[in-house]
Amino acid sequence: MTPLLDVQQVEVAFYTKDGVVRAVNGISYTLEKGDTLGIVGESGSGKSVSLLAMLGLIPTPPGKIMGGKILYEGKDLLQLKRDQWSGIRGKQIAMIFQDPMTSLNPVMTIGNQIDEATIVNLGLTSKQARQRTVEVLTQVGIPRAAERCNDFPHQFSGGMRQRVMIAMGISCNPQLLIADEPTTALDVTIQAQIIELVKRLQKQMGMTVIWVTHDLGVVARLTKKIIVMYGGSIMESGPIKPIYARPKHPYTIGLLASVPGATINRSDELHYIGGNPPDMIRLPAGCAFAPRCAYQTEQCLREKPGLIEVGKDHTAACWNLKTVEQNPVLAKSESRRAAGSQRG
Amino acid sequence: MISYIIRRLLGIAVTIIFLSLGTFALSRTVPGGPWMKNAEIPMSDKEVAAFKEKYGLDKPFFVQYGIWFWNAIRLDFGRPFTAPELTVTQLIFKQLPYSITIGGLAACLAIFIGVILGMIGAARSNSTLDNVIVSYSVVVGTIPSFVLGFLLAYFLAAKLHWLPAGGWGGPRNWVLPVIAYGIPYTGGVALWTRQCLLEAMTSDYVRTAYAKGVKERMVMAKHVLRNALIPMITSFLPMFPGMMTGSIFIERVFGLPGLGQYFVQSSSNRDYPLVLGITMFWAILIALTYLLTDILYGVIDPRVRLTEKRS
Repeated sequence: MTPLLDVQQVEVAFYTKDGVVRAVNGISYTLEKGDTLGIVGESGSGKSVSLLAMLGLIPTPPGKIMGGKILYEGKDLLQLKRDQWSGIRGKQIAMIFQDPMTSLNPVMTIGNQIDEATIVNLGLTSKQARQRTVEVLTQVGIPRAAERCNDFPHQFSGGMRQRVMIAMGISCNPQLLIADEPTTALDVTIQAQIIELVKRLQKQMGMTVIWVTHDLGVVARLTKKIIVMYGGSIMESGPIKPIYARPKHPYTIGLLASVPGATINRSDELHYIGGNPPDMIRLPAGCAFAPRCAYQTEQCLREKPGLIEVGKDHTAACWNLKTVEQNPVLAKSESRRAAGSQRG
Repeated sequence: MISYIIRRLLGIAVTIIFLSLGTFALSRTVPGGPWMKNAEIPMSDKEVAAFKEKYGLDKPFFVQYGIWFWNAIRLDFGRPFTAPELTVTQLIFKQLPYSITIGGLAACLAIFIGVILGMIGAARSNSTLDNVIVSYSVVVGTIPSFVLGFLLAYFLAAKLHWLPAGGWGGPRNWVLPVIAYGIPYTGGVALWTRQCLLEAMTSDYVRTAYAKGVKERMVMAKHVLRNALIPMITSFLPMFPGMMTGSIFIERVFGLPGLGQYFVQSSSNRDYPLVLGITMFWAILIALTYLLTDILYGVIDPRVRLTEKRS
C-alpha cells in the first residue's frame, strides 16, 4: 500500500541579503493513513518550513524549493503550480498555525472565515456553510456557537481562537491535519485541552495528523512516531517509546535531559545543551550538531552522517552510535563542558 | 456612537480654544504691527495711537482676547485690516471655492495615481517595475510644486500652447495647477499604499486564507485590501483639508485666486483678524476631518468599534 504521504529528500532554502539560509536539508519520511507523527526540534530547525512547503506556502522569493518530492497519494505536491492547489489546500490537507492571535483575519467574523473554507472547497451555499460552521464550532467545544459566529477574533481568548482555527481546519473533513506548534502560544492548562481535542477529533474523523512542536511532553501525549530535527536535518526518527526510553542520538539524549520534571529539586541545576543553535547560513559541512556534541570526531565535522537503522523503524544519523551507546551519560553531563571549552 | 461623537466634538472645542489663545498671543507678540505696513512713510505716534484705539489694540491682552472670543463664538471674526470692505468670514468663503477646487482635485489625483502605483508595486514587489515605482516616488516627493509648476507652465503652456498657463477660466485652466500640486504627493501615497499592502500580504491571516484553499484573487479582495485600507484611510483622508486650504506657490505660479496667499500675507501684514480667522477655519476643518477619519476607521475595523461600545 502506498503511504498517504511520502516525503523524499526535501530541500528548502531562503535567499536573504546575508546569504543562503539552508532551512531544510534533505529530509525524508513516510506517513501512513490514520497515523500521527510528531516533529520535534528547536526553533529554526526547519520543522515548520518543511510543512509549509507541503501546502505551497513558502514565500518565493526569498524561499526556494531546492529539490526533493512530497508525494501525497502519489502526487508530487512540490510540482504544483499556483493555480493547481484547489482541492488540496484546506480540503485534503488542512493546517493549524502557531499563533492564533495573528492567524485569524481581524476584520472578518469568525463565522465568515470558517464559511469561506467550506464554500470554496465543498461548494456549499452560504446558508449550508453557516450550518456546517456551527456544527464544527460546537464540535471543538465553543459554547453558543451559532451566536458566536458573528463575533470577531478579538472577542475570543487565545485558547478559543485556537479552537476556531481547529474548527476551520476540520470543516472540510481533511485527510491530513498539520498542526504547526498550535499550543506554543497558549497557557499550559489550555494546551492540554487543545491536545485532547485534537486527539478526540482525530479518532472521530480518522484523520492523519502531523504535530510540530518543540515540547517533548506534548508529542509524548499525542503521537506514536516522532522525528527529531536539528539544523534542517533529521537526527533521529522512530516510534516514541524506544526513543524516550533509549535515545540513540546525542542530540536527542541532550534534548530529553533538558526537559525539567514537574517536581524540581531546587539544588538541581537545570540541564541544557551547551552552545548555540547553528547559523543556518553557515551550516557545518558535516553533522549540523557536531559543534555542540560531546562525541564529536573529525569525521563528524567533515561528513554528514546518514540515517542508520538502530531498531525496528528506528533510525539515527550519527557516526558514533556505538560510543554513545557505551557512554550515554557523556551526552548529558559533558555536552555542556564540551561546548563551554570550545567557546573559550 | 452619538455619545462618542459628542465627546469628540467637546474635545475639538477645547483644542480650538487653546489654539486660538496661542495664536492670539503669538500674533501679538511678534514685533511690529499692522500700523507698520508702509515702512517708508511711517505713521506718526498719534496716528498709531488712533489706529490702536480704533481696533481696540490699546486694551489689556485678556480684554482683547475676551472681545475677540465673544465675537468669534458668534462667527464674527471681524474685518481684515488690509481689506476692510469684507468680513473675514466673507473673505474666507469667497476664496475657498477656488482652493477647494484646485486642492481637492489635486488630492484626488495624488491618491488615485499613488494608490494605483502602490498596488502595482506591492503586487510585483522587488521586480524592476517595483524598483522604478519606488524610485519615482522618492524623486517626485522631493520636487517642490512650484518648480514642477514652472516647468509645466513653460513647456505645456508657453512652448506647446496645449493648455493655458494660468488664470481662473474653465476646467482647462485647472489642469496644470492640479498636476503641479498633486504629482509631488503621489510619491508618498504610492509608498504608503505599497507598504500597507505588503504588510497585509505577508500577514499570518493571509497565509491562513491561502492554507484553507482560497484563491489568490479572493484573498486579495477579501483579506488583504480590507486590512490594508485601515492605515491608508487614516493617512489619506487628512490630506484633503491640508491641500484644500490652498497653496501660495500654486496660486502665485498660475495666477489663481485662493486662500493660500491670504494666509501667508495676513501674517506678514500682521493682519490679526485675518490670521486668527484663517487659523480657526483651518483648525476646525482639520479636526473635523480627523473625526470623520476615526468614525470611518470604526466602520472598517471591528476592534475599534467594539472598544467604543463597551466604554
